[in-house]
Amino acid sequence: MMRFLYVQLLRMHPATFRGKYAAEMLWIYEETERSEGSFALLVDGVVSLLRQWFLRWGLWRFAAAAAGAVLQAEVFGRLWFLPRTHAGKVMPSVANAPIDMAHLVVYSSGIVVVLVGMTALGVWNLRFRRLNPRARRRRVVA
Amino acid sequence: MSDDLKPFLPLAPAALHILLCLAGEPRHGYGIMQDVVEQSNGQYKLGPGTLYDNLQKLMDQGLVEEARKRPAGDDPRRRYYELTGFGRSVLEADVERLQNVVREAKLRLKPST
Repeated sequence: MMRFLYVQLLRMHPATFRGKYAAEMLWIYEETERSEGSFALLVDGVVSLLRQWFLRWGLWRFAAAAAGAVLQAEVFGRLWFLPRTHAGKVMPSVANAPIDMAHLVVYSSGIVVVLVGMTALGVWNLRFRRLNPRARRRRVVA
Repeated sequence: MSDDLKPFLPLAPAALHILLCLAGEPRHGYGIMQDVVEQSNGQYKLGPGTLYDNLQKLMDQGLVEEARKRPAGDDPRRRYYELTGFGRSVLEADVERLQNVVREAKLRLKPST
């Protein structure tokens, strides 16, 4: 059962990493399962999976963009939907005011622009790194 | 120390242990894991995920490469890795850095008379 889970974890790794190292990682799993404990090896596999996708493949940019967009929507949403007072009277919330809803839509489009921009940057970065495997090395040396 | 080496220093603990393992002879992944445990008297253990992530990074940086020669009749799943000349220079520079740290620490921790 644990071996099956480990194999599935290996399958979820990026193809380049999986192609190079998955067979040997599985072999090490089989060799060390008894001495190290299969749970510890599974945890190591999960950490490896997250590290490969988020750090090495740059998925953290997408995660940061998504988190930023959610935060922005949350903050602007709360601001726009807060009840307002004017001359001591509580004004209707923007949800009931068509003109303010229009403003909300305009601000929401800002979120979409940011998301699309970040996604485009991320995709360009991934393609650039895939086409130029030495780019990272040059950047470190420079 | 050459300016080329500076961006690689200080080495992370995992990278330092891996480079030390490979300083003697080419080794496969499992051999590196076992050697790291020996080197550190069991205080530092690498899981396969951590090991291969670091190996990939070290290979990208040109410090380690896959060994061309391998023992005959060995399990085909095993890959052997060895230090490059550049990797050896980085390792030597980091060991020198650590020696300076230890020298300084000994001076400062000397019991006052």
